[in-house]
Amino acid sequence: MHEFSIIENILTIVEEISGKEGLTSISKVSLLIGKMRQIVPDTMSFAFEAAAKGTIADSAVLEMEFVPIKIHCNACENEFVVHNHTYVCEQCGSTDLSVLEGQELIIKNIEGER
Amino acid sequence: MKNILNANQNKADEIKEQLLEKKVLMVNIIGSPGAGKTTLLEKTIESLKDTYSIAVIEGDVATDKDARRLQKYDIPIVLINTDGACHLESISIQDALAEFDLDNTDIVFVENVGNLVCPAEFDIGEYAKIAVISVTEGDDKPEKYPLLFREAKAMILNKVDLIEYTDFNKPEFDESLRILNGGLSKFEMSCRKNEGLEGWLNWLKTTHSETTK
Repeated sequence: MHEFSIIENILTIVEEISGKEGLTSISKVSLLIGKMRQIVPDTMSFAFEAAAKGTIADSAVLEMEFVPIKIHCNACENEFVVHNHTYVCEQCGSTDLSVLEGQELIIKNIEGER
Repeated sequence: MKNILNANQNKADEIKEQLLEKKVLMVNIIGSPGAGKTTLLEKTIESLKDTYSIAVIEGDVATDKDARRLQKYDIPIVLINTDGACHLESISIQDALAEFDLDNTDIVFVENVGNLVCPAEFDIGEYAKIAVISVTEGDDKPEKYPLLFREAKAMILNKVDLIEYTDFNKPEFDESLRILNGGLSKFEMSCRKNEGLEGWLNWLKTTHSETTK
């Protein structure tokens, strides 16, 4: 259910930017979401639809692009993409890893009219 | 490009800085409803309150039941009722911390809202997230809620005295934790019986002295 909090944050940012850029309506909001984030796309769309009613983003489309979890192995310097939440180096078996990508929660782009 | 949770993250960073300066260790206790978070706090406070100045932030969707359970220890407690929200955010933590005398506080325990999903998502400025899970919930929880077990620095497996009455598969549980988070510190205990807490208490003591140097 954290989708609702996240959508509230998104709408605050959208309204801020619209004010700054002089936009009167928003047609599309594009997000980058890391796969570590446990975001459920359907819940996200539902929350957006519900929360955007009566705001500048009332008729906007929410677009979500998911970013794979990319890992750097601190033991053997291997880089790989995590599947099934297995945080073990495919090359050397180490679990001493740094997450490079996959934690994103970013507004990539907003489209609208002045 | 704009980070969606910037407002929360900025506050969390402020809190981290403040706690570092005041030499306070704050841990964020996350687990399902009924996992034993409040009982863990009771036993932990009983063991440490003569050595450390402890304060507690109690997050609850509604009621002050958990906070009232801790009142007997005569320590500072701030209750945050989230009014339906499923997690705590850094802005309410910052307000709660302002109620404490941080110059004379060693450890702040935050008991997050009972939930394995959302609390893992929001940084509240803690040093460590602690995942609390009980054997009655099943061994599949790390796989189902990977973010929490990936982000946590320590994991408490509670109610191990009941394990023979459940289908909890310990080797599978351990393996799923290993592939999710190889660096996780793990402790098994029965909070209700006050058994097996030593490892956890030692972890807290060591972490406190290492983070407040």
